[in-house]
Amino acid sequence: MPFQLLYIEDDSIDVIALNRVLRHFEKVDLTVCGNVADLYKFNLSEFDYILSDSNLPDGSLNDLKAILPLSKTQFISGSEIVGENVWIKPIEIDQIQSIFNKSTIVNMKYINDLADGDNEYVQEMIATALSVLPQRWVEISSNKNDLVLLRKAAHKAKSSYRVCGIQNQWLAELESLDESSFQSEQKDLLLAQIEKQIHQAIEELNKLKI
Amino acid sequence: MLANKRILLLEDDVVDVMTIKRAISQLHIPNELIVKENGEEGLEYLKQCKNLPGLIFLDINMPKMNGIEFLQNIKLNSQWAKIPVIILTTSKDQQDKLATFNQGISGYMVKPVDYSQFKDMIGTIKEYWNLSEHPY
Repeated sequence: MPFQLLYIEDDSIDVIALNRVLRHFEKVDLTVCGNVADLYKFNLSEFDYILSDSNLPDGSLNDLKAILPLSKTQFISGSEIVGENVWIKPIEIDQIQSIFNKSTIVNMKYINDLADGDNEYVQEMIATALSVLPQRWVEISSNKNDLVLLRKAAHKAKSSYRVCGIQNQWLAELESLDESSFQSEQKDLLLAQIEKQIHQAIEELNKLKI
Repeated sequence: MLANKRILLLEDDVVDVMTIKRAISQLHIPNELIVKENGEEGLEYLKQCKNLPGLIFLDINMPKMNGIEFLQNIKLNSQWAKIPVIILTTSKDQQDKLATFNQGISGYMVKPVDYSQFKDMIGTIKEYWNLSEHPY
């Protein structure tokens, strides 16, 4: 599924500039909204990320802050705004890349470093990770009623997680469950998070597969 | 000389095997790499081996016989006990670290391997081989 990016901007030149930057990226659907009033027509939760000008004809930065989901919004400005972490126009390729890095859970840095430009190796690692990650989930889920085996399965999955640059805090928590937390809801919550995480990682790896 | 010896890798995780193989090839380490999936297979290999490996990379968490049990076993054999062993593990557990250092390991690396750390470890083992006169 393409990455859904909302750009809130009233200046058509800035919109053209962003479109040019986005040519460097595959699978991005850009939606443009030129004013605050029109924002209410959108379901903001459907967007993966939002870039927003900090000054629109019908709204200020504070108005926008009150409406937009700040965890996935980056404000942009023509000049610095004291006390605010805004990007200064024009938007650069690296800044867009950083959005994707935040939104994905797989980070290919380790594999790319090992590959050193060898795409065949990268693809081989992706294919291997795609075969190993589902196995790791099966090992975890099938041992969910045995604390010792569950901890071992969580431990074993950590290596594949690290190679793929996936955060492993939930696996680490699962690995350190004690008898009382094993009997509690905490275990089921962790298992649900890990299942979701592995499915997302598989989806992302599949997108990287040629 | 380490260059004349094989390197034995005991690792059951295919992703880790691939990363170690890659690191060895990228660092132009010429030694043949023998991969076994657990401690039992590792011991079997050593038993039938005429030319003992110059270095063992050892995972801790493996099925059948884990890395610590494997270490305990090789320390019972006077020849095998001299083979340098480097632990490769995802475990930061201090108990594991202590248990393996108590068994006389030569190094401990947390996976996935860091290139420069890996290079340093190999360099240390090479020096050991250069300084020792036929340790086994």
